[in-house]
Amino acid sequence: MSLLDVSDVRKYFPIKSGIFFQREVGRVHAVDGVSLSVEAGETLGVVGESGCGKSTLARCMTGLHEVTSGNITFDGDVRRDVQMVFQDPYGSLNPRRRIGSIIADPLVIHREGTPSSRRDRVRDLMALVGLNPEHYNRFPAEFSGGQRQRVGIARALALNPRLVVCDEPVSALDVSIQAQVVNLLKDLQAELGLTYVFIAHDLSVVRYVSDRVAVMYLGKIVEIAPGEELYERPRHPYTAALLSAASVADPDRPRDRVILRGDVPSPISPPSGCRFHPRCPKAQERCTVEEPRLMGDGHKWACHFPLEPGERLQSREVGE
Amino acid sequence: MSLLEVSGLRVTFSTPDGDLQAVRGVSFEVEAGQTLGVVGESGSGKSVSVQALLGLIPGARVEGSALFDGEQLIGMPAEKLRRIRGARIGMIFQDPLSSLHPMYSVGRQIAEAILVHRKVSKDQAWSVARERLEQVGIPAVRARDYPHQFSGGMRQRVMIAMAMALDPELIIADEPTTALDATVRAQILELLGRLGCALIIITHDLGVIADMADQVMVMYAGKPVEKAERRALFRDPRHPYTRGLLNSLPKGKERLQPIEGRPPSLLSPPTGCSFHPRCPVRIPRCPIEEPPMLGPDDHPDACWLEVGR
Ligand SMILES: Nc1ncnc2c1ncn2[C@@H]1O[C@H](COP(=O)(O)OP(=O)(O)OP(=O)(O)O)[C@@H](O)[C@H]1O
Ligand SMILES: Nc1ncnc2c1ncn2[C@@H]1O[C@H](COP(=O)(O)OP(=O)(O)O)[C@@H](O)[C@H]1O
Ligand code: SF4
Ligand code: SF4
Ligand SMILES: [Mg+2]
Ligand SMILES: [Mg+2]
Repeated sequence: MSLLDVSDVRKYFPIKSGIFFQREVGRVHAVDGVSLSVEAGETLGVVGESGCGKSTLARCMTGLHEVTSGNITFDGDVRRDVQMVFQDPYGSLNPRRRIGSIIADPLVIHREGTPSSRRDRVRDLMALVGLNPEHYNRFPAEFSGGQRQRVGIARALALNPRLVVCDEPVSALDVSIQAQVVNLLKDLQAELGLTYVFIAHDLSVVRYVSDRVAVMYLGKIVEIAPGEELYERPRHPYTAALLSAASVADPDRPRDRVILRGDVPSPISPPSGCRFHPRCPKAQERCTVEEPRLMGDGHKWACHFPLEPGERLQSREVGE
Repeated sequence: MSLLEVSGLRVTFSTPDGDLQAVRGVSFEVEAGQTLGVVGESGSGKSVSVQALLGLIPGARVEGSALFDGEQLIGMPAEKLRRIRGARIGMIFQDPLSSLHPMYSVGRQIAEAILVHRKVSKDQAWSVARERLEQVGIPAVRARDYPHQFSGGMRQRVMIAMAMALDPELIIADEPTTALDATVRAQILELLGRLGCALIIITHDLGVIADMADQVMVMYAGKPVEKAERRALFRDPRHPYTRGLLNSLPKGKERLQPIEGRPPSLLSPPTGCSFHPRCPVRIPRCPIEEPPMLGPDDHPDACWLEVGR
């Protein structure tokens, strides 16, 4: 059995309108039929553009959102064994509380230990994530972005979780600091035998940390595969376009990247058939009416006309 | 003569905690038609440098020289500077929503920018506005739409259309793609690459530099630490900070090599070389004496070590 099983999960947010009588006028299809599993000890990376549903999926996995439909099963106690690290190292810590008591929160909530044993535990956690335990009584404002992210990680580890869902844990950090935090997460995983779901929009960071990678587009997983396989032989046109658009610090990279037309459509009324069809260079008639299913084993993709392994997506078909 | 020649630029803010030297002696040139990439971590003084020379930071003390086509921008009367700013130097910012007026249609905003600077009729201004929108891939029929009716990427394209409106000789783009998604970012970079005029592109993203820049200036703690042609910078980085930045980036599955520590506070920058507290190869001289830009004119860096020199 997998550590976490997500089966056909949907999460819709109602859009209300009207001042006195709030009436539902539509629904944001934030996560729209996602199935995947997470194996103990692995890192599953999740990539996709803003608004595609990554954070919503993360919050469903950790029990912070009730799902609209579908099932999530976890081999253990979700409330203790699944923890989350958030993106925003500025917004996610209460500025008026001391660092030590912020990290102790999960211990207090779960009535773990005595005040003095909790204090010891927090000091150990601070040392574990590379913070000075003597800064126990400081306030978040006295910490830099990278240090605050370490505080968030220490808090997530307080209850010895098995699965940590990291939602853009390094996106707000400068590259040199980003590398410090990524190395810390890697080291903690080796030391504590953690399983990670690692969400990010930076494809190269995800490649570095992940064993498997899932690509999301408009609430759906369009491709999922072992990392190297996905990066070297993408089958879904969106994955190929995303990889070609990625920022790479190589001045000699060929500049013939695929430029997709348009923006990501609204998740309120996603396109019919394959959701990528209005932007897809390979789209055909069938794509506009029939939704492709995620199929394959090991390497799965949801596309009627996938790229052959090694085939390049042609940008010249774009914009016609 | 270069199109823009900046030398010894210093920008100081008075804060309750004392003077903050955001920019501490920046010099660079931009040639006509060329792209200068300015890269550095947040707070290194990238935005303040360019905003100061355009007179966009009222409260700050600005010193040094900035010659644009031979004319001194520092200390230039506000009205005259404003004319240059709209007509000959265009600006694109990170967050297009805050630089567009929410109550006016995008076409009207571009047309009015033209009317302020050129003696043309309203109809002519509108027709240029429509043409510019088409050039950035926005159908002219949408000229009467308001900013909130566009997506983030489209608003950034509107900003580019506006910056291009009067055929400026120089466009300054401050983190133009930071707020955008990867596929939209690629569209915008492609568009910026086709502009033809001189471009200063400010970014913390070394990928943008690798794609776009002809010349690169790396900044740390309010100063340039290395300048080079794009390929030379990536192939042969010389300053320990530049090397540290490049090593911090993921390369396949190799373990990352971060720069230890964090950027200094500009309220009390370190003595000597401002990178010394984080520098893995510092020598006894570093905390005491500040290194000037040394080495060949086409690839100088500010470090006492003769790495690669
Ligand atoms: N509480 C909510 N109420 C209504 N809509 C929501 C809510 N939370 C998220 N959404 C919408 O659901 C969609 C998916 O949002 P989500 O935050 O999961 O995206 P994401 O992939 O994490 O994006 P980002 O990369 O910007 O963090 C978006 O359209 C978003 O606006
Ligand atoms: N109006 C201001 N008042 C005081 N300090 C400022 C002001 N604007 C910027 N700074 C400071 O100047 C430094 C450089 O800022 P900036 O140029 O915006 O950095 P970058 O663009 O490289 O991220 C930072 O320390 C910043 O906090
Ligand atoms: S199903 Fe059709 S539209 Fe969708 S990704 Fe495949 S080819 Fe493109
Ligand atoms: S001058 Fe010294 S401290 Fe500064 S970068 Fe060079 S070696 Fe490092
Ligand atoms: Mg998110
Ligand atoms: Mg800036």
